[in-house]
Amino acid sequence: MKILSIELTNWQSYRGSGKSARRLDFSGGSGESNCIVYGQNTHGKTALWQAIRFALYGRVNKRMAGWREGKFKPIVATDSADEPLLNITAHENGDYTVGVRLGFEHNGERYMLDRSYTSKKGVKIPRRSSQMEQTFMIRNEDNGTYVEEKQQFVNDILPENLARFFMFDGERLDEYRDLFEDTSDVELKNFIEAILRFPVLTDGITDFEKIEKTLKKEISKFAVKHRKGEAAAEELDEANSDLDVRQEVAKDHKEEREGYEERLDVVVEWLKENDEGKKALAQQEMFQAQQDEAVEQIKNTERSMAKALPGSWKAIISTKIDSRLGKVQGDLERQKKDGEKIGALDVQISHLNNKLEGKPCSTCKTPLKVPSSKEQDSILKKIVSLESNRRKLVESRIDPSPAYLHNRSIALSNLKSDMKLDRLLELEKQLLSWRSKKRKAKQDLDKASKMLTNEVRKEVAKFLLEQGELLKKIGKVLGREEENNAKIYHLETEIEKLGDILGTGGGKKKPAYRKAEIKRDLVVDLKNEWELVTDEHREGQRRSVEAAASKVFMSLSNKSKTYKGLKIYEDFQMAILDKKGRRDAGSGGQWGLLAYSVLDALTTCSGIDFPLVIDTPGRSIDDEHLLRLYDYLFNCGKQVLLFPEGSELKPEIGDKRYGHTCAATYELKLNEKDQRITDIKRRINNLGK
Amino acid sequence: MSEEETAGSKGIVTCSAEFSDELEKFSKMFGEKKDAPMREAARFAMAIGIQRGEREPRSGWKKPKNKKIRTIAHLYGGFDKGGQFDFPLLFEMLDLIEDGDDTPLHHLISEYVTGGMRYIKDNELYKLDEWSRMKDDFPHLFTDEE
Repeated sequence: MKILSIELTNWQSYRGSGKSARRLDFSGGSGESNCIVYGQNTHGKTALWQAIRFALYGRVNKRMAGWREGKFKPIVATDSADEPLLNITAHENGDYTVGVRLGFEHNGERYMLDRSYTSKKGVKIPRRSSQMEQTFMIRNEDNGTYVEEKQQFVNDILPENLARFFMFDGERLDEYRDLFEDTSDVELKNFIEAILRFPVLTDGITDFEKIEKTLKKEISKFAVKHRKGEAAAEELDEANSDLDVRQEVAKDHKEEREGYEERLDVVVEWLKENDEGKKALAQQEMFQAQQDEAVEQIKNTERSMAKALPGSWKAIISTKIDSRLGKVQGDLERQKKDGEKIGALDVQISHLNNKLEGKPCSTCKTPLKVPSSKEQDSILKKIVSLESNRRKLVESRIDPSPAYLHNRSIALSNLKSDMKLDRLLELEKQLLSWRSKKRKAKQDLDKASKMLTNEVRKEVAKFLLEQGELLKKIGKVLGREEENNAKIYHLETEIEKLGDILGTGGGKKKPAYRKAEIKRDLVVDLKNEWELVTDEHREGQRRSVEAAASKVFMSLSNKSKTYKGLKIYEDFQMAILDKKGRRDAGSGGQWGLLAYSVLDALTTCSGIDFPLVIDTPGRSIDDEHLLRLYDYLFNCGKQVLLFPEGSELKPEIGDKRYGHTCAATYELKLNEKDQRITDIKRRINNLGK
Repeated sequence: MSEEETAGSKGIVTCSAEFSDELEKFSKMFGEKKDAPMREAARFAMAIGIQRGEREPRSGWKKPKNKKIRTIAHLYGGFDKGGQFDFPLLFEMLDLIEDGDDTPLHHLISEYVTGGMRYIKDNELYKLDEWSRMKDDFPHLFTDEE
């Protein structure tokens, strides 16, 4: 890649936009591509250096942020102390566009990169970066097309993390030196490895390790399954053997059942053909059953009648007994009345006797007068009459005695029953009904029996019996089949499970297992080979860098008699070696040259085509070594954009010594009217020649 | 000694040989046991004989060939069910013992049993499905449906 031009729009101290934008060209007519931009401190050299980084990566580190990046300059700010990218004067004048256009050539084609910021719509005066909107495009100047993956395109040319090796700041050279001495800085080591393209190899190793790890896991699973498989193999053999037996049994069952079914078909067919006989037989059986039922019911009814009859004989003679009992009761009543009459007569007789004797009344104790003799005769006559009546009553009383009659009455009552025989009539009806049914059933039975000759009946019965037996047998076989099928299903499931454990290879390793092992072996071999290659490449690169750096260092250093060269260790620790190969402390200047030498060697060995853009290159390097450095840089074959401070390289000397290698040389000066603005003055112009 | 004599001397209630078969059939209607149904059937026949006044003196009993007088049970113990039924009292109270008639009670009962059996035979009560005929002759045995 070669940078052809750079156009700055309101970029830091470079005021101007549109046609007034500041432009520097680096494309000489005779192929010159180097450029020297002279300028005193604060005149805009670093801003120019930063413009290139901004164009490529869209951000600019604050200069004092140190080696590690992270603090970036704001796009816009109203205070110059904040180091905004948008020119302060432009901002004050309401011009809010800031940006860089970078013309470059890459792989034989010319491109124009344009990255700029303008205020967002609706923002009248942007005061923060968030109020600015970026525009970024890369146009192929040869074919007029625009690059789609713009940032990726840039990173493919030079990744941002490696830009530090191509675009460096001399004021930070000491930091490089310290870093080269301090190999504990992992980040730098990573950067060095990155520029030497080690990651491609180390990442390959990591990739192989990942693949190996995955395969190991896979193999581990196979191994577990395989171990299970060995135990399962025996079970599988056994299960397969059992399955064979069960399948043979199933076959036997099927044959047996089919045999029965075949015979059943014959029997059913026969019964169909002899349907009348079958029906007659069925009817006969039905009528027989009806008859049996009737007989049973008749028996039941008779039993019920038998229960109802005992004692009924008493009911039959109950009217006679009632009649007799009535007579006995009548006698008893009469006897009672006669007794009462006799009692009454006794009272009358007693009263008359008292009256006759003049005694007090036996009832009320009233004293009575003694009757006259005439009255006495009358009383005596009455007494005689009453006693006569009494005698008659006593004599006429029934014999036997009332007690005797009473006992008889009780005994008769025991032989009496008020039982009714209605229940018998109901049972009689039932009996008649069942007897009728029985007769009907018998008639039907006789009729059905007549339809069947003995031979037919026997044959139908035989077939029906056989049909029943066959159905039973089929049912039993189906039961056995079901049971056997369940066992077969169980065995098949078991075999399937064992199969899963064993894979298709039984006790042997599955092809997938073997394949995984082969893959793993291959990956391990490749990884080992890759590690070997990586080590060799690393060592080769180290040696190359060491050799290239030593060569440059020795050409730059004036101590070729003292130094043997540079030593770069495996961990990229670096040292200056004396003639005896011992580490030499070296002066600050020597270490500055070492840093340049190593950077140059690294960029050369990286194979990356990118200019060296060096700001304030002479720090820490004395004048003698500085000129040697410039001599080397401007003749190293790379495009060099050098931004020296006045003391580092005076314009007159620079133009004289290196002007012929440059497309142009420029000198930066602050505007006389506005010291915040940089003016660009072209000194040597080889452009377009 | 003939069966009849044996039966009489032992005080056994009997039935005329004329109705041996019918009594046998009729007794089945009173149960399936061996003796009790026969005694019950005989008492039933006796009651019918008493109620209807059908006494058939033993002297008039027919003697069909191959048939014997049917002995039923001892009057005392079997027929009277261990004294549960006072047949002497019954016959006395119902004036069934005529003056001057010295017929032993068991014979007297047997004569009424035989009288009853004639009715049973004539009305085929032993078939069990002719009981409704009794409604006319023994209305007091049935509830007046009206």
